[in-house]
Amino acid sequence: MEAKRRVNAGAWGRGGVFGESETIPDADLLPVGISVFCLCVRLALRLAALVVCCSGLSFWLGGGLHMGWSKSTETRTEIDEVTGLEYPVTASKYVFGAELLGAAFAVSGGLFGLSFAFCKPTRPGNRSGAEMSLI
Amino acid sequence: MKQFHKGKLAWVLILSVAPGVLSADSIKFDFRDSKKVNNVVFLMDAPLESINGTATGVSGTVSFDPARPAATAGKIVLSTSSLHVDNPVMKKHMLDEGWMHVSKFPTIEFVAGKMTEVKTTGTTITGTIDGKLTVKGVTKKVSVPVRLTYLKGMLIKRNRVPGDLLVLRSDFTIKRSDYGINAGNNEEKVSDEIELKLRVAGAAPY
Repeated sequence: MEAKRRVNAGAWGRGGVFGESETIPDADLLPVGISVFCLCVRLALRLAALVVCCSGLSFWLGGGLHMGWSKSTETRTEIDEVTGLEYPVTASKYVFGAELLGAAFAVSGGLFGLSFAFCKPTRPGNRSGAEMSLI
Repeated sequence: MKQFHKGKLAWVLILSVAPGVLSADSIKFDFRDSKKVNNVVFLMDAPLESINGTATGVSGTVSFDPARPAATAGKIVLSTSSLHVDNPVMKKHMLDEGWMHVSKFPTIEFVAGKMTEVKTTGTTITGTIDGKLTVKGVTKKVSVPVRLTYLKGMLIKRNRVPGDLLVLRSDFTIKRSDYGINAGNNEEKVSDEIELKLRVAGAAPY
């Protein structure tokens, strides 16, 4: 049995971190360390993506679903009893804006996408990349 | 003889009262407000973004005569550095050189010349004030609708000092292009039209 084989690794999730036409050990002889490392990084990235996504969403919901830009102060209107004038009262309060929610989603998506780079390499004649990525 | 005395007495009364009536000085109201109730709200509704902010650095004086509201005149000054929007980056840009250039133009001033189309209903007087508005060093003639409310003796309720209050409300629109406020730029985000809502009260202690 040949000790090493060239792997078709053009697409994300198939070749993983190993570039195209990179020589890697045969699947059967793949060191356990690399496989575990890839699995750990992949899980860590996906977990981080989940945390970033959930944090962004919860901050935004906690800030009152504010659709505008982030604010460092919040202005509310009060009425002067004597004159009847409406006047603004500004208080320091950070309100999470829609742009930060978008950024959180973008970072989360990026981390999730990056996690596919740490799938096990393809094992020709054995399992497909899709199957491998599920492992 | 009696009639002569009656007539003489009447003239004496008229002459003694007349100067007081004729020189019925206008009441001078001071619009400086430490409680920061006096404010100007500005709104800009652009296609991509709607911006609203406030300013509370109001000062100035207005002379008002309840008997002759058409003679109302004075000056309202707004400190440019008191302009505020809740987004800190937007506020920095607004006060910077490109927009309001606060360091060079520290005030916005409105000088009231005369009041026309005066209508009085109880303590409320409505009309149009013709005056001059100076923003960012550019002065233009403007006519703004105003609603004045004269609250006689009400200052004691507000400031614990006997006196009168004059409440001034006015809503009008200006164009930033008229005053050289980054004219022609970023109009998709910051509209050319600026809607202003002036809500101020002046005090005249006895």
